[in-house]
Amino acid sequence: MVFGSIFVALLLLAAPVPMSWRGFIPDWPLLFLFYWVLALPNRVGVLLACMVGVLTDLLDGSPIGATAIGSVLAVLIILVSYQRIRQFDGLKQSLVMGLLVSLVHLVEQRLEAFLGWQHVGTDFLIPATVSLLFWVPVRNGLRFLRRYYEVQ
Amino acid sequence: MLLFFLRDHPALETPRQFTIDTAAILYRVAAAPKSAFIGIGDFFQSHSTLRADKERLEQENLVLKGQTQKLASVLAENGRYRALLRSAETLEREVMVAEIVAMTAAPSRHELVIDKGSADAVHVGQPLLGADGLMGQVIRVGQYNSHALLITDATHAVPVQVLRSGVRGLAEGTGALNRLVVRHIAATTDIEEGDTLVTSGLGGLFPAGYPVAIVTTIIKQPGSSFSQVVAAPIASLDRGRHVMLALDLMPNSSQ
Repeated sequence: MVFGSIFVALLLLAAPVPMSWRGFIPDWPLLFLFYWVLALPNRVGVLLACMVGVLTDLLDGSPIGATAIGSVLAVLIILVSYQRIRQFDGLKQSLVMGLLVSLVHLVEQRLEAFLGWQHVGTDFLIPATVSLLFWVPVRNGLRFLRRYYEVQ
Repeated sequence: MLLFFLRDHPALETPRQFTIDTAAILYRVAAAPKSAFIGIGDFFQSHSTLRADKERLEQENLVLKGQTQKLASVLAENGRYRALLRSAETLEREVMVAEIVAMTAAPSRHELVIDKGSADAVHVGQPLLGADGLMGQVIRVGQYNSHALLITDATHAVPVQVLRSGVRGLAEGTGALNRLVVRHIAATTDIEEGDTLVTSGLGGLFPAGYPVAIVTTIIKQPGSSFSQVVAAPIASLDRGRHVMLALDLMPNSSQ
């Protein structure tokens, strides 16, 4: 279930969209990953975070590991404070998730700049803002699936 | 640090090619519903549409054939003039058609995945051409797929020349699809809005003479010795399913 949904998220990321929309696509793999870490912290953790990061890098063509480092960091933060995040209402959770997604993108952007990719402006933060809006639907959808199939 | 050392390491060439091909497979799967939709649409086209298409294409073909005849004679004439001037004949390039598999997922980068790789003798730096003009260049090559950087990417620059006056410059991408910037053009230079920029062939990477962009605005600030030139790419970068890869120069055409 966990792997399947993350594979679907990666496909969603790779799906063809008009070029002008591309900045406004939420970061599906990260959102899905964050949900599973939050729901099953004793089963899903840093290893899956690393895998998701590497697969995203593979799709992007960015240096393997640039996203992985960021997502491992973000997942560590969730693992430390999942009990608190679970108590938050939807709005607060969305804000936390938005912050975590932007953390991942920031780390990726800095690493790539270090490796010689030029970036302009703060455009890389737009997907984080869009992801923030999509957190609640993603959470509710995955929660329904998790309960329906009784994933432990 | 490790990333930095591994970035261009030659020993990692094979795994790198493998990752490009694997990613292309994922992109294909993700695009499958769309491709299937288009495929079904193509399959169930009505007889009359096909006939109309055939008619139109035949006419187009006729017109183009006529133009090619003219082109051949003009080329021959041009060759004679050049011989008289004792300069080398302009080099002709052949092209190979490739299909666009996808745009890569990173929104800040303008990169295409195309379905030709090192098995088809694609190599890094090969120019990518659209129907109307220059699109970009190949930056990573896999066995059967490769990635190409578009001219509008923020990391890309191409040496250009104003078609009308021959003024040279460097057209840099900005990260916006419809905007190139030509920097370091002196304020007194002969360049106007509506001028066509073509590749100058300097740098040796891009062949000379391919149209790149049309100048849209020129901002001249009093007191500044440079004017800011903004141009729009001619090739439709976000449309179409096919691109052309310029093959290497044919050795026998240089004199």
